[in-house]
Amino acid sequence: MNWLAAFAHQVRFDARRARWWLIGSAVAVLAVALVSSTPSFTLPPLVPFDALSWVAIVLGAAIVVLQDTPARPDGFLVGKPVAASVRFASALALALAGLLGPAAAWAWLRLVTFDVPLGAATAVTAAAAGRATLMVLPVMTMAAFAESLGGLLGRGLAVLVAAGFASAYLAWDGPPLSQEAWRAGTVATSAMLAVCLLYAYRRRWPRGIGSALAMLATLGLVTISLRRPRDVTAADAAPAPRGLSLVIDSLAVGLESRDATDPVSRLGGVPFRLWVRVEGAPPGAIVEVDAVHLALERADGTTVVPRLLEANGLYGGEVVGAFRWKGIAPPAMARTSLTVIMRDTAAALAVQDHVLGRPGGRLVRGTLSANLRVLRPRILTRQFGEPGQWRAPGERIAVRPAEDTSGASLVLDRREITGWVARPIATLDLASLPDQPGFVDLDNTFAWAESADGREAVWLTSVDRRRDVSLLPGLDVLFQRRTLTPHASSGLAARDPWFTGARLHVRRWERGGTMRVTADVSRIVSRIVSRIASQAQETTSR
Amino acid sequence: MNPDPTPAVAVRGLTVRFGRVRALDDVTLSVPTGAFFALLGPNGAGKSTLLRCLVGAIPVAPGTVSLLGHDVARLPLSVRQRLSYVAEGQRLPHDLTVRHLERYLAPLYPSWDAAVSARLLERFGVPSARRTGAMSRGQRMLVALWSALAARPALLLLDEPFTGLDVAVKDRLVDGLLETLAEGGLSVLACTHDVAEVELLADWLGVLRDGRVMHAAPLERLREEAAARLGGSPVTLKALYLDLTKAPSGAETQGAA
Repeated sequence: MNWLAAFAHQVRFDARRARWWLIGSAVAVLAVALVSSTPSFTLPPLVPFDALSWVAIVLGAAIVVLQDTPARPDGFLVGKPVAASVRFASALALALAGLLGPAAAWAWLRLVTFDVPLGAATAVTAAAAGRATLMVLPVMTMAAFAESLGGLLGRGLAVLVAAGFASAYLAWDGPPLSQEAWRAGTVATSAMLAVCLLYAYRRRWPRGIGSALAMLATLGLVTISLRRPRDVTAADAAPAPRGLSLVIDSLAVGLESRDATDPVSRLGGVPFRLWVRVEGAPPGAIVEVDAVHLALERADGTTVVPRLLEANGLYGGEVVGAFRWKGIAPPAMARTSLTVIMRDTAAALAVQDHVLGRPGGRLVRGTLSANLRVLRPRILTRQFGEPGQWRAPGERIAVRPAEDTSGASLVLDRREITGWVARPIATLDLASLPDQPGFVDLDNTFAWAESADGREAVWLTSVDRRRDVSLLPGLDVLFQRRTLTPHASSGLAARDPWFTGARLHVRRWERGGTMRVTADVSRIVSRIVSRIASQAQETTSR
Repeated sequence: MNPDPTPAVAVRGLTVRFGRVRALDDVTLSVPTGAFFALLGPNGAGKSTLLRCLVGAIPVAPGTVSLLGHDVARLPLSVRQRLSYVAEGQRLPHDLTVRHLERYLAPLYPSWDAAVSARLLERFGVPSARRTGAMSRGQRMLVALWSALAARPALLLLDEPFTGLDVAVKDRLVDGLLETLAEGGLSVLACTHDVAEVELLADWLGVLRDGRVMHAAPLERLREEAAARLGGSPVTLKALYLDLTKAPSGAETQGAA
């Protein structure tokens, strides 16, 4: 038998030996995935794949090796004419198939259902699986080595190494667990550890699978504690779905009025605006653009990085090289646009060089890069309870009557709702929302309430912009009722019959992935140069 | 018997330490091809350690060990296919049957003999459709020996094969070994306490004590020497073993291998 034949033979044998373990692990992984899913039409988050199943993968791999390693003197395989590499590869393949397989299949299915193209979903899943494999390999190696050492020291070493790898991963870029998953995981692992300790106390310390369970419980407890729910931050990003692209749509130069006090203007900077769109986003998803960089290359090979001073009005001032933008990708279009405003000193200087004919001053190439985060929607609905009892501790969405009932506290866009006035009716308390990764985006109308008969809807119209509400939950959001009342009346009373049977909907956005995209802006740069040059010539001729 | 000049097992200067404990101390041993070499010794003498060195479970350093003429550290697959090892308390995949095991083992050993396999199973009386986890300790040991013998090995290493078994199972084990030995081409190194079974099987005897080989010689020669020491009367293996283990250290009689 050659190596591959021996590997296939060994895999068949090991698979038969571990068939119940494999089936059990697959069921467990899928169960975790299903439990964490929502009853709504959307798919569950990637939490099982990213966290719990990851821990299980690492530990499962160690368990496979520890169960019957070649180094064990009385092991069945000792002395058998099978290469150690074959045995190790077989154990690894089974560990991955039993634990990573179901998780990867689930993640792939979710991505596909998420309207990610098949190729992209496969690539993402394969990349994650490859990464998991790389993480598992050293743990398995160490576990096998530790078993040859024998005794508590060796197993302790294996546990520490496995815990170290898992912790490193979790501290790296893993998301926090949901509140439910965290509680369930803590209870389950604590119970498992307690059972193992009970066995130990009664001097019936189980060997083999019992030791593995103790390892699993200990490591699970450590890792789950590390994944305690916390506030969602911008760093909570998942592996990216591929297939997104950044496309430069159009360009406008000199849109901004020159301000003599503007340091960029004093330096001769030329403001220009790029319209950029993101293509390939899943329908209904939010694409968040972050950390945008523009690099321009001169003919002499030197690179200049212009300043990005403003983007879509969210950030102003001296924000160099980074901004954040959010927008909706309508389901039918799956694309959106991004407006970037740049006042580019280096570009302007380069243009001047070009106009003046200095060698080396011409810009030849430009690259715009950005991190794109895809956020998929999930709609949470809560029916209003009895007036005055809207705040329900522990619920994901807590609603309480608006504290400010004076009314007319908002600035409404009169062009759109002429004749309408607003009444504050309720406040959405987001403090209980961060139990799940994701956030409520308040810059778009993503939350609304409707009366029991479904005829009257109330939209979110007020946002406290003193904070970055999209990423810092716990902010009160005021709902306004739009009526045709001629006067700005007071807000609805807490016992207003409107609330009876009314429902509150919040479209929550969950992370769907992050990826870095780049776009070639060379043509845009050429147009900038030529248009600025022509403007300069016109000015000179005048 | 015209023994092959290349010994089946050749151990030279092997020393194994576990911390401060010297489990094997400069062991030199040679098992002639075709011999049934019984290595006797009290508990803790280092017998199992020696066998684990032979199967590569314990690194060999310092010292050299060769099996069938090949260094144990670099045994080619073709040589490993001619070796069988049965450990003390041999573990078996508990949820597999003998049939499953045969389906796994047969392709690994080119010399696997289905006829021998069937004959041994019949002789051992092992239910081939029962999971090994549901078998008794004796039946599991019989399965372990069956898996070792059906491969038609050139060298069989046995570690306490008779320990904890009842008389009936021991008899079946001995019968199976005798039958296979009668077919020729098999060398056996067995570490055991059970002198009664060894007396039926062994033609070479070694005594290991405190990690050192005290005696190693053809059994008949040791008997004759003991008989001479004990007054000329026939000597049982038990008496011989007790006599040899009483002998002062250094009275090594490594045979004419």
